[in-house]
Amino acid sequence: MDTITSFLDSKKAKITRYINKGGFKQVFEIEINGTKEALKVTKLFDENEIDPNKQEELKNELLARSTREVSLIKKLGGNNIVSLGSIDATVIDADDKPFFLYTEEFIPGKTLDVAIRDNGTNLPDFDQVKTLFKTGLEILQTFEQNKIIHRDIKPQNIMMTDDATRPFVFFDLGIAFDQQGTSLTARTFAPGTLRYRAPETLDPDYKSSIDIRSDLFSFAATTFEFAAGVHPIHPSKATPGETFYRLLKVNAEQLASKRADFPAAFCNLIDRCLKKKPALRPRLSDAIQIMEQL
Amino acid sequence: MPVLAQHGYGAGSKIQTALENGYIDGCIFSSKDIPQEKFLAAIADINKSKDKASIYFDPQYYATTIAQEPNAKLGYLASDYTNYFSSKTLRDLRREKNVSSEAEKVIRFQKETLNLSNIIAPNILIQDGLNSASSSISKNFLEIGAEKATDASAEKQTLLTLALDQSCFRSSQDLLDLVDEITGMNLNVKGFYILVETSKEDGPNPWYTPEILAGQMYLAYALSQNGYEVVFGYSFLPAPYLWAAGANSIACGWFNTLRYFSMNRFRDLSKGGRKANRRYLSNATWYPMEWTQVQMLPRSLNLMNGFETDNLYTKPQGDKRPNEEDEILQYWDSLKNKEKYVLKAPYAEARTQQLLEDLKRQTVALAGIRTGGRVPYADEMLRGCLRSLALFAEFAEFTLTV
Repeated sequence: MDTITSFLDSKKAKITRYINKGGFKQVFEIEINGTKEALKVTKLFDENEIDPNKQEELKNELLARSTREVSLIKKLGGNNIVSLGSIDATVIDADDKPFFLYTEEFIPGKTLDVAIRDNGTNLPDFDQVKTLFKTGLEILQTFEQNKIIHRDIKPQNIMMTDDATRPFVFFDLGIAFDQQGTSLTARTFAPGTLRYRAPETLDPDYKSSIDIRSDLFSFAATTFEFAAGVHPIHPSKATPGETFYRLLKVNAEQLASKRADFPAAFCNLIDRCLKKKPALRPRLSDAIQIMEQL
Repeated sequence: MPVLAQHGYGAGSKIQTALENGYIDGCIFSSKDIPQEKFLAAIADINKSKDKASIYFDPQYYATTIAQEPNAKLGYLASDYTNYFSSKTLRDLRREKNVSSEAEKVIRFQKETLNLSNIIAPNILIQDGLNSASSSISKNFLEIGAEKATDASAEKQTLLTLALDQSCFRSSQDLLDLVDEITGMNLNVKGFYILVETSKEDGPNPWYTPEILAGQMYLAYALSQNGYEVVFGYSFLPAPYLWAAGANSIACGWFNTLRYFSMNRFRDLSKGGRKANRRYLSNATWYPMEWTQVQMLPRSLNLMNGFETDNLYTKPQGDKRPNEEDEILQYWDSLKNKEKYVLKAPYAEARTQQLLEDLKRQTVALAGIRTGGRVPYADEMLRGCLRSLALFAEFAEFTLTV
């Protein structure tokens, strides 16, 4: 950690707060040149792995994944996708252990999962849900145009801000992949969060056929949960086995049953996005057209 | 524009009469059965009979792979449509370059030579299942056909042909995967022209075979949910099921070979045979019965539709028209009215539920007739249709209330 601190010192930056962690990544709030940024530090090793070959394999994979995330953020840009900060991607050895770090802009606000929890029974109005869904569809369209699949859309990866010009910002493209040739994540990682994964991604061979419709499913599940306060398929407490089973076998609740005050066309659209079979989900362009008419 | 005439040999005045009386809304012409010059004249006649009629030209490219067979019967395809039609083997079409030039020729011929507003892109018949060589080639035709339509600025008017034989319905999972793949291609076209090689009502795999009927319904449903227009060619009794699922149009003709798609239409099988007795399609039973049988049954069974075309059967027509003309006008009229009934429900799930109720009524109607053993396939047909609806509901993720 001293090495990282020294590195930050050299950039005239200092850690002001720990934000959270997930997998191999930790996120800190830092101050650099009087501005807040989010520092993302990924450890490129597993302290429990004793096989040096596996350790090397893991390092290569984590490095590829982190590099890919940074290059995708650069490639995509846009108002509703997080942008990079002032510290470029760097690999640092600290105590002979490799770390990958870079900064992103700091987005004030709360993640959607926190917003859902805080909302409780005080559910958001239609305009807010509509804004979220419309924003997300536009982002998915950007992904589609760039032949990118996010693979981990969930409330934890969407920031709800107080800024009316960008009320929702998507971040964490760590397991996104570029269909145009970037090597895919190997099987070391189970991509995506089970609760929000599309059923087809549970197929061991899904990588050969996955497309943007899987992201559409995950995003519709996220939007449903924000709108209704409950997940459309999974009850709040379920074992991974139950979650797996429900994802494959139990049809999603209909949004109208939870939000009768919402327009039927919107509820119907969300329901269609939550169909088990990708073929039954709407085309993105059609979904955007429906949203424009609402 | 839901009912179309599937054109073929011996069109006579059937199409004009049906258009003028509002039984049909347009026509899919068969290139095999009409020379190019007459085709252009036929379009003019249709436009006189009905404003804004839907006119399609089926290039029948799928016959290309049997063109070298000794008993191939290609009609005008081999003489008038050589701009795009010639014999090709599956081996020839494995090369994408060849698929590309073939697709371009067929689309440009319709757009530039025939100046059509609806275009049907070419394809071959998928045979030997959905993991076959023909399946790979067919998918190439879909992707390349869409590209060529865009190149010709015809993407908004082009239907891609998808032709499937019965083997494609053997594995439901393979069919679901095919639909997943096609919808994932994000093809920028108006829609699909679907042909399914089934046997006629009394064949080994009749139209109500659950895997085949439910599979067709799923194709209609998924493609329409993805914003595509779906037109089923050579379709007759499955029509209400296809409309319920999301098909926009079905095309049906006056001979059995124009109601049930088969590649044998392009082979000289020299079968001959006697002329069939005139049949009557009652919307109460959805089962074409011989007219002489209908006449013998008690009126209390209410088999007569009460539509305009009943007059063709009940009032003497003299020798003005051949039987098959009365029959197809009556069939088209029944189809048109059945379509109105199906579309009373607002969306696919409700329409499917409505068809289930209709099947219950058919069961009662057929039970009244069956006492004399006059409807040999009725039980099998009802069971097949019922199972088809259940299977389709499963595919489409619906819940039907029985």
